[in-house]
Amino acid sequence: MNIQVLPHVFKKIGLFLFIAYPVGHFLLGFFDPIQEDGKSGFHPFWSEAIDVGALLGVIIYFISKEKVEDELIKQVRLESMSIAFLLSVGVLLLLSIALGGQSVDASLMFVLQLTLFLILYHYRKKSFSL
Amino acid sequence: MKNMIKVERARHDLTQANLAEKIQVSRQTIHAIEKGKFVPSTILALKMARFFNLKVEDLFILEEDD
Repeated sequence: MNIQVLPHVFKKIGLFLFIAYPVGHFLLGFFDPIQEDGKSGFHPFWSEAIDVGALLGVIIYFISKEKVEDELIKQVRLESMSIAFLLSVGVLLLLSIALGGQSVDASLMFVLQLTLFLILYHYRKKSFSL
Repeated sequence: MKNMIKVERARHDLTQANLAEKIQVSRQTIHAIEKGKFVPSTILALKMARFFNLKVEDLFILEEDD
């Protein structure tokens, strides 16, 4: 099954959205008119919009084609996904031990897994270049 | 498994990029196959053999430890 349906140019758009998330979140913090009860003064839509944008960015990146889409790149993609999954489970285990059985935020795990995937995919792809 | 792709490529006076273009894969894939880092699928092996007008077993050779 081929789920890479978007043209190659969408890779850059997806990556931009993903990187814009932490930067946007960081910048938003400076201008946040924090209320007396410590809650953000912004409408919840804005912080949510940034979160959704980042996840959307990874999805766009994931379903965009490489310049040349062949069996090597498919294998690299699958291997990176498997390693990212295993590493994130490892981190989850360590966090559970460190936090004494407290639950870990699911969205944090997703972001960790997706970030690991992007890093692994990038470096594994590079390792096949001259 | 070793392969004779580099030899055949030289015999046909082709660069990695030329061969990649002919069989519609990336240059990295040809490089990875030549270096033994990646074992191609049957389809790709057959495509390469057909391109060089050889049998698959003449292009890809099993070794003792395979």
